[in-house]
Amino acid sequence: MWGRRRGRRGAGRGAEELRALRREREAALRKARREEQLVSKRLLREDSAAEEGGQDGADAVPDPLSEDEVLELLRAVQRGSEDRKGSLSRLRRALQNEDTQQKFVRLDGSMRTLTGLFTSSLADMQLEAARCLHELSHSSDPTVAEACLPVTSYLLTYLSGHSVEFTELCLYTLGNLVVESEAVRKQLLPQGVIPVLASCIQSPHEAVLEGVGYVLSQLLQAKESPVEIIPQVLDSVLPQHMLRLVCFSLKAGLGAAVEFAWCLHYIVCRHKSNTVLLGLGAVPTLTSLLLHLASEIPQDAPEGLELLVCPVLRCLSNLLAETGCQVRDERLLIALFLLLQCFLQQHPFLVQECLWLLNNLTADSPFLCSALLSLDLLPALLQLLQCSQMASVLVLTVLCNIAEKGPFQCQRLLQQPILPLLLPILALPDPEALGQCLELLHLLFLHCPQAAADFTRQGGHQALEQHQNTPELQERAQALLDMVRQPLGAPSPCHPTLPAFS
Amino acid sequence: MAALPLPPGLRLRLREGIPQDTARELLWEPPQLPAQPLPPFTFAPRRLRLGPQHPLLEDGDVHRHLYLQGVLTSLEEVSERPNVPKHTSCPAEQGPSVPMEVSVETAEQFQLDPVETGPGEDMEIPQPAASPGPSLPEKRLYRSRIPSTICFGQGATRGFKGPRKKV
Repeated sequence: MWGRRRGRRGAGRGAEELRALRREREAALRKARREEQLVSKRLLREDSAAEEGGQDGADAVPDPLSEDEVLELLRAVQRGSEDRKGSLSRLRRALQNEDTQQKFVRLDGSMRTLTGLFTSSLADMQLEAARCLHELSHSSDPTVAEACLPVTSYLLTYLSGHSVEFTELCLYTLGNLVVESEAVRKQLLPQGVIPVLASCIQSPHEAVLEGVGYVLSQLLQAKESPVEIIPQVLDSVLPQHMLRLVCFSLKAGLGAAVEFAWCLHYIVCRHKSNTVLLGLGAVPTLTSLLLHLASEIPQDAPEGLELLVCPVLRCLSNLLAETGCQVRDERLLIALFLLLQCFLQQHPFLVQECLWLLNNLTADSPFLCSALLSLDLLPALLQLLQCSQMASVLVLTVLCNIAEKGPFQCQRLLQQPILPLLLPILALPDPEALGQCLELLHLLFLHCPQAAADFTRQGGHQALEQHQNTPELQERAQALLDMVRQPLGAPSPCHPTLPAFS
Repeated sequence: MAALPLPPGLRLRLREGIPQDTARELLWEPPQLPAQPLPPFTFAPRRLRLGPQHPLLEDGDVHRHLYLQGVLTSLEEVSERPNVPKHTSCPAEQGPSVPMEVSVETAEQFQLDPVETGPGEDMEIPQPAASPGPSLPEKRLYRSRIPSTICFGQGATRGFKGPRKKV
């Protein structure tokens, strides 16, 4: 799939229509996720244009056939004629239509015939039959996909075969069937799907690797995976290979790296104690990967790199949350901000992912808090306050992490125009951002009393008074008002007009 | 939004040093115990552990699934001349900014004790998703159009269609 572009010859779908379609899909996916039913399948499809001689419209999904036409296709395939391969190809093309799929699986003997061809000793028949099964596996109609269940044991067997293209097809077909139901998985697991995948992951072929990653990612998202699947996976050689394959180079292997990164994320966020991955050096490995990516990617990040960066960030964040280990490499801060700069325009969702990691890095590390300041990354961090509601809450949290470390850090913070940036937040209706803002102000005033006076001068008093009647905010707002009303004592080291000392 | 105001020379700083120096990267230190927050203030720095259903992960998950479904694509028109390999940069997305209604959930999640957000909760139950929308017409580009710098492995280019709405 990697690097694929959609081509449109002549009058195809315009950009606006594609955007509308994408928005529709996005809305559906969000809804599915909130209902905990987020599932997608993948489809491999051969270049139909090459087959059809490049006619316009050859790339569209074919129209549904009538029952009789489907029956005719099946008969043609069942006959041992010379053009059996041709008939099978025509069947495969017809099966791109879901309606035709449904008719086909209902025909008596259809799946038996297809299975027979799939297990044929003739390689090209076998491949074409595999393509038919693949189309069926992709159906959103469970009865169609379930019709493929009898072939799953063959699919597993053929994963140890030699043909890359055939293996790849089998993998994606399996991956699609895996999400159909727990019953499918219950069948596959005792048949040894995990050991087979552990063997396939040692293949030198990138297409196979990406397919392995896909199957694994589907297995790992299953609801029973923490109990039935993850322990088996962690017990195998899969984890060490996944970590190896996630560290791709920009020249090759991105597709597979993406799949395994998501697999690692699914494991880490579902598994209670990630000692296996930690023991394999997941944190230094993934840290090195981020450093490498941040230092090597061009300003216009290649399409799809965000699909790798996202799960890697998540793994690191969750692994750091689990362990007490401290990261003392400030280059990771640099990497995070370079990645933010790279992806900010095209993929703003990465902002919250980066900030989550930044929180986990800075929460209990005075070293990294100071490094963030001395690397002059604070202006960039403050700019992220404007990204989204979630981003501003996270930025405020990171600022609190820094301020909490003491007067020195507060003084450095206040060297930036931070108070004017906080005032507008106090005017927003968002209670979560408001709460963090009040916490930050408290820390700043606590360590730098002069800041309270500056805040008052900038109209902070009125901004705080607005919240004296908000239940979850009023105590803190009142406490801050009391702080700003206190008379100034002797000038503190936090006076912003004093020269900075290091 | 404008580009980030980063200081110059960061990339160079990144390349200096020894990437595989694990001794430099990780030190086992006991986590610092923060001072107790003064009431009514409650902030204490805390590493966050997020489970699979957390709202913060929604945008990224959706993006991942759009990719699986083959919806992520360059919105720029591919050149009509098949011999010109087209390098297209990623166009601006519609930008799924976090909807406001997430904020309340997020607030609750961020207040949770880290242990409570560990795995074992909020398990996903992947049943086939109902997804409206017709499938996109599939077209695979000729291999000659694919820029040689982009590797996609051994063979088939994948076409995609997403799951249809179930009847």
